[in-house]
This record gives sequence, structure tokens and C-alpha cells, in this order.
Amino acid sequence: MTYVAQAVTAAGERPLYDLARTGDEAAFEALMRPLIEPGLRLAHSMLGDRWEAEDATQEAITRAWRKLAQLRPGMPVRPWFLAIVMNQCRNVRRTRWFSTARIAEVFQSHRGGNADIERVDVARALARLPSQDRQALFLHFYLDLPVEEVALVLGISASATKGRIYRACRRLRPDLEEVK
Amino acid sequence: MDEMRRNVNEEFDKRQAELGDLSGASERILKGAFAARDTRGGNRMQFAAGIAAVLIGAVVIATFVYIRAGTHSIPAGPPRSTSPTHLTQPLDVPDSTPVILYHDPANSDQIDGITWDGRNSGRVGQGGAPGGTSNPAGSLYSTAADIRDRTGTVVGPLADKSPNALHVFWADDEFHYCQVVRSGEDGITSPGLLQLVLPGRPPSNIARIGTFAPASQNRPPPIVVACSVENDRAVVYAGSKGGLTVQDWVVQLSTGRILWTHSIDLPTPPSGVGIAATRDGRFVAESILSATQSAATIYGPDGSAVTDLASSSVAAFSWDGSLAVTLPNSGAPVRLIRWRDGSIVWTGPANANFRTARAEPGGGRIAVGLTVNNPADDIEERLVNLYVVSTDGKLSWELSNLNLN
Repeated sequence: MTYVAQAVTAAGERPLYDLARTGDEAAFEALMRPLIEPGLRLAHSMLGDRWEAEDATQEAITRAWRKLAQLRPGMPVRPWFLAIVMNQCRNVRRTRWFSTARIAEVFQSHRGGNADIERVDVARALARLPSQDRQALFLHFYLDLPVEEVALVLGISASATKGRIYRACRRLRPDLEEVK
Repeated sequence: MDEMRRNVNEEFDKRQAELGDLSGASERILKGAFAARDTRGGNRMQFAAGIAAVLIGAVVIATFVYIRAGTHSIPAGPPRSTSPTHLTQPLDVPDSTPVILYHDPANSDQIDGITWDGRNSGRVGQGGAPGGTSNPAGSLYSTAADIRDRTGTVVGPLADKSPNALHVFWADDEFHYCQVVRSGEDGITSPGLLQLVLPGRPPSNIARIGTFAPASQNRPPPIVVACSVENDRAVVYAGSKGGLTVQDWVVQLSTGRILWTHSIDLPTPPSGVGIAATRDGRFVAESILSATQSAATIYGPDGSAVTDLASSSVAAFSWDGSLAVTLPNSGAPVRLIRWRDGSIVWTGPANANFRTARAEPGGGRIAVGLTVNNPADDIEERLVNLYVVSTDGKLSWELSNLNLN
């Protein structure tokens, strides 16, 4: 969270997004650079393949450049960009013939046969979560986005986001306490 | 909660480990993004130059399909569009009139229908909430448990071992459907079994096709993409070799004989393979898909290549198979083309993504379902804008926010 805020305001006199909107490539690059890794990780979590994730992230950056006009002053850049990444990944896997050929393979390959039953159960439960719930967990738990930003990425309210995360956790382990 | 978070993150970590060392990735992605942006600008110039060249009759561009075809492009139709409303009156058209079925906007369990000319619509039946599929004419549809007709009356149960209603692929005779079911127990790997089903009757086993992994692995089953009783063919595809290969089969329904089969290796860097077929199973499009570069080859009745489509993938065909819905590389609108000569019949709106297509049975129209590419708009992924286009490329009518799933 901190590094994104720095990226947005580091230019001093004019916010980076302001410069980027005028076509300043260096400002746009500075704006995007800290977001590439979380974008790539999000894409990988959805597509399950490094090269597809890189393709999707790259395409998302191209789209972000074209959509800069949508970025209003004060609008947080990270959830805006991650929403574009997420949409791009949906585009890639949207068609049934694509998703059935590749996506469902994703959660199989790393399931080890170790003795930690609980962990195996978490892996299995995670694989069975609806993709939207899994994405909410990934954004909140793994990318450490606050609930408000997760909500912006998913395009739903903060309370709905909390509910989704809570529901996902309950499915993973039914006796969890509610998300604080 | 902390422990849960730790466990979940450990699982995410395992999967993210494939990404490996990310130093250098940011630079590569940024460079690629800027290069792609610049290339597209160049492509637009090339496209405009191509049109100008044709207009002055000085240059014939014949090698690159989308540039050549672009000279026939017809822009997307009128933007005016209405959204469906809650329907209470029964659909009042003869059973022989094909309709498009969709979920009622106020009650997703209710199925409504609209005629292909867009003039008549009405309530059809219940049971649609879990999703399902209708036959080409919209005279029968599957629910989670049964098959129903246009009045909502149950015609018969889904055949035993139906994985679920979404795997019902209706045949072009409007009465049968094809499905691939598991031949063994859920817990073991077993061959898929292609079946032809007439609702209310026991399924006919056609052939062993593809493989089902143990159910616990949650892997995709073999998928039917054409089921033609009229032409005695079905087309099925499945992933294999851990997702690195996709195989498709064209099967004779009356004998179970494999007429031809292809195995398609995923390219490097890996991407996806898409299979689409004409409703009669005579032509099969194999598309290599990626976020930035796609290409397709269409194969004929004997499995030999008929044509290659550069820079696009094929998602669907019209009823007679002459038109193909193509998805150009990322950023370009969906197109309806005459695939034999590459001419563009219709171009969809910009910033929209393909979701589904339906062909008018026995007719020339094709309904293309698109979603608008807006982060805020397409969170509700089930809703599409439906564009019904005739063979001459004219947009007949349009309906927004339709739930076809």
C-alpha cells in the first residue's frame, strides 16, 4: 500500500497520474512499475501459467495506458490497475474452450501427498472455492490489500467483500471467527 | 484467523513458486507493453493504408486476411438497445418457430424466449436457475435434473450419469443430445463415453473418447462441440498430457468410428487451444489462443486443412457453416467473417468481449453475445449484450444485459 502511494505522489509538484495522463511515458512507467509484480501474481493466480500471466499483465498495462483518462485525481491506482488485470485474465479464460483446456489444471499440480492432512484439506478446499471467493482471498490475504481496495478491484461494496472473505474462510474451515 | 491466513498463503505461495525469480519480469513486461502499444498504432496505419489502396484501385492486398478482409468491413449497427423486462405472458408462437431462450431478468429460474426477428417474446417455463442449455430451436431446454419443452413441461429426466445439465450438447435434429460421461467410478481415471440421448430413453453408447481424471482432481471433462444427427457426426475435444496437449476427435455417431483426430501441442510460451465446429461437424476450427497473438486453422470433413486465419481465433459458426465468429488479437473487436474468403460481414463494437454465439437453426442469422470491457460493468459475468446479425452483416436487433447461461 505504502509504495503505491509513494509512486503516485513522488513527482513532487504534479502527481504522477497527472503527468501520465498528459502522455508522459516516464510518469506512466513510474506509476506502473510497482504494480507489475502484484498484477503478475494476480494474473498467475487466475491463469496458472507464468507466460500467460505475463501476457495478461502486459496487455493490462497497454489497456491502462489507453484508459488513463478514467483515472481521476484521488482515485487509488492499485485497485484500478488490478481490476484491469483481472478483467484481462477473464478475457483470456472467458471462452469455455480455453478454460476447460487449461484453467482447471491449475490447482492440481502442487498438491503434494504429505502427511499434513489439514494442509491438504486447505489446498483441496481452496481449489474448490468459487473463483470469485478465491480471488477475494488472494487479494486480501496474499497481496495484503485492505478490504476497501479488494472491494474496488472486485467492483462490489466493502461489506460484500467482507462477506465474501468470511464465506470463503468458512468454507475452508467452518469454525472460523468472522473477519475483523 | 491468523493461522488460516498463514495456511492459505502457504498454498498460494506454492502455486506462485512457478513464477520463480521476478527480477527482470517487470522490465520485460513494461517493454512488451510499450512495444505492443506502438505496434498497434502501426497496424492501424497499415489498415488505413490498405483501405485507401483498395479505394484507389492501385494495390491489391491479398495475403494477410484481416487487412484484405477489412475492405469489406461494416461497422457495428445502431447503438440503441433495450434490456429485457420481466415477462408474465406465455410465449405465443408456433412450436416450429425457433426462439432464443434466456433467463428472465427478475427471476433467473424463469426461462423466457424471443423469436429470431426480435418481435415476439414471452415466458417459457421454470427450472432455469442452475443454468442449462436449450436446443437450437429453443423448443427444449435442460435444467439441473430434467429436460423441459417450451411450455415448461418435463419431457424426461436427464440421462443417468449426466455430469450436469451444462454438458448437454443438443443435436441439430432438435430432439437428441450428445454428452460424454465417465465410464468408471468417480475415484479412478477412466475413459470418457460419448453418448447420444433421446430424452426419456436410455442413452446410446457411441464411442470411448478422452479421459476422465478422478473426480477429486476436478479436471475438465471431454467437451462436445458438435452433435449432428443429420450428418451422423459428433466433434469432441479434451485436454491431455497434463494440459500440454489438446486432442479433438470427429466421430461417426452411427458406428462410433473415429473419422479423424488431431493432437495439438500448446505453443511455447504456453497458451490455450480452442476448438469450434460447424453444427454438422464437417468443419472444425482449431485455434491457438493467447492474450496477444492468436491463429486458427479450419479443417474439412476428412481432417485436412482448408484454410488458415492469421491473427484471430474462431469461436463459432453460423448454421450453414459459411460464417465464422472470430476473435482477433486482443484489442480488436469481434468479427463475423466469411471464412473461405476472409471477407468481414460484421464487426462488433469496440471494447467488447466475446462470450457466446448462437446460430439460427435453418436460417442465416447469428446471435453474438458480448460483454462490455469495463471493470465496473462486467463483474456480473453472466450478462451479455446480444447482437443478432443477418448474413449480409445487417444488425437486426440488439438486447442488452441478457442472461443466457
